[in-house]
Amino acid sequence: MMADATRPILQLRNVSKIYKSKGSLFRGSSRDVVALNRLSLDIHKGEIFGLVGESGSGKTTAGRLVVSLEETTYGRIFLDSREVTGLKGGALKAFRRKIQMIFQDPYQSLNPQRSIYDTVSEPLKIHRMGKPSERKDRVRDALKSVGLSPPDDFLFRYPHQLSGGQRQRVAIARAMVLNPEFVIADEPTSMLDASISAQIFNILLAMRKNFGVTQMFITHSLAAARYLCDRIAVIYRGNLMEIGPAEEVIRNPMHPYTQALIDAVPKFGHSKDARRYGTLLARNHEVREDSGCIFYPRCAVAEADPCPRKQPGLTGVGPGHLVACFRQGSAEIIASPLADIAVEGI
Amino acid sequence: MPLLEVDNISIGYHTRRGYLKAVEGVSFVLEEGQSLGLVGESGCGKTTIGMALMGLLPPNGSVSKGRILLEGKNILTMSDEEKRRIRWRKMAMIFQAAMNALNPVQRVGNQIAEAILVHYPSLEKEAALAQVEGLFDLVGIPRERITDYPHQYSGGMRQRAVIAMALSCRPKMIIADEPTTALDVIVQDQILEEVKALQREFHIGIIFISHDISIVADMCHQIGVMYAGQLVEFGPWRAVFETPAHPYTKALLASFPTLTGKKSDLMPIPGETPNLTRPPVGCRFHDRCPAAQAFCRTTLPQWVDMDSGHRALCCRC
Repeated sequence: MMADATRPILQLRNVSKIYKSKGSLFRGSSRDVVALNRLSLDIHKGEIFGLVGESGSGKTTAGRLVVSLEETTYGRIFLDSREVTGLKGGALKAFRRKIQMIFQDPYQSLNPQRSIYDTVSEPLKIHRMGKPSERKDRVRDALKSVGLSPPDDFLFRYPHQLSGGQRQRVAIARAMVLNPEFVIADEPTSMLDASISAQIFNILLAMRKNFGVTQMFITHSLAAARYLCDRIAVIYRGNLMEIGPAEEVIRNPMHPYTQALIDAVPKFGHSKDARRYGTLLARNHEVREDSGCIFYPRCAVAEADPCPRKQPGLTGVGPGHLVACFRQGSAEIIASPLADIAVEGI
Repeated sequence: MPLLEVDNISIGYHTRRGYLKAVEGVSFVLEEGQSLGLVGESGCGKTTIGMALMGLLPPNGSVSKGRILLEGKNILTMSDEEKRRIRWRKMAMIFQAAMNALNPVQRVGNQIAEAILVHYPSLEKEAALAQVEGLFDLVGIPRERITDYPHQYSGGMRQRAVIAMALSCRPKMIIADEPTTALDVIVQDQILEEVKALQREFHIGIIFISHDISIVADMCHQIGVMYAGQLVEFGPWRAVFETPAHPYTKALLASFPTLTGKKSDLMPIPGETPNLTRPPVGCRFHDRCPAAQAFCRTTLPQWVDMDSGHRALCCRC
């Protein structure tokens, strides 16, 4: 099933999340933590979109903002062209039927006191979907779709009786039982072995193929993103660095940070042959202020001007391929977190 | 004489659900200055072997069979005092997630100095701290951080501090158990490069335990693949990676997504690992093996030797 490029199902516009330090009277004080800085992107219906970053990149925060587990500080989010920023009450509940999340830790995301049946049927109960007699069938279908067959073997087990991989499948079944339009998977396999992770990846692909579910896959692994995703966005310290078709970004990375990530990925014994970019400094640049490109302190190919003083916006470097880097021709962003800048067609 | 010889080791744990045979009949050799990667998924026994080598098995675990020879002497028959002397001086360990190895209420410099003073009691504290400064230079921690507490360090720095501690008594061998699992990929890459350089400079033998075969390929001369407590394949890294013989090794390699090369379907391994309180009579991988025959269920597999030290435990190779 091809992604429908003309229909963005999810849109983020200048989404920012700032955690204020206690006792700070002024906005933007240097002790505030900017977890996400003006993130804007579109996700197309039916695609699997990868958000790739290391710890502290803001990728998990982005996922939590999209499902409304946290509130945005600035910016707006749209699902199916309807604004969903700051939804509350009944509207939020209706929204939650359409968009679900799968979390990283299968040992913490399932209530240990609930049977598998109770866990997977809970969304149906909350949203009052289906008669109780129908619910069992829907749970069975959900379990079958994630490979927990025969489902009756699992209905009345408890999480502690399942392996990590099985628990994660239950978490996916729970997310899917409402037939959502959009699922966010936040590092769903980072606590699982490789062979089990591969099972989960294939389930996510089958979900798209069989149910047309659009997905955002949050990960630190470029290799996993390459396998699963149509397009990826690379994020660093809350800022979007590069975005484009997955294969293209990985084969032809344009941002020095993306290049540094690719350099760092272990290459199955071929590291010496493969190292190409060398864009990371051994010792960081000194920075005197908070202005300037967020990657400047570590950038070995930065220019003396304007990299330390101005923030680069996104600029096109190929079909659907954008990068935030002055060396690639980015223009400066005029910083104003309250401005609702309309960004067309990302 | 090899630096380390593990000779037909079996290790088990007494658990409430029965006696768990965590490691069964494992043998391998580590030469001086060489690195050996022990690769496998959860429950394969690789960490248990690391613990047994350091004499750090928990109270319910014990070596039931076999010998561990460090420079020719069996460490399993040593007295506690002898074991204490070799631990850290001959053989040091780097654990997963450095947070477990550093005392949170003691300054980092002092912790490492203490480790030195325990093994070199005639040294003065100032001399020990001077050595710590030298170690910090080696592992890339700025000297002024010597008086900080662990919580003031980043994850990468803490791991470097743990490496410094492992090097502090100039061991001949280091056992590194998932030393970079908790770190981001860029920091991981830096640390692995540093470990490789230190190994070359000080001619240290390393046993590198990891579930991540992509790292192990970059780091190690030899690879041992473990499954359900047994070593199933062993040999020079290139042979194991490019011409894997055991079906599990092949399946494991096929389940890792890669960044380069042709993008192919990931092949997950169906099923689950066996219950080691009641291990299978025959081959432990038979129920998940795409090449299994009827006799694999009941026949113990034998080692098959391929060339230049490459071997696999399989009836079908």
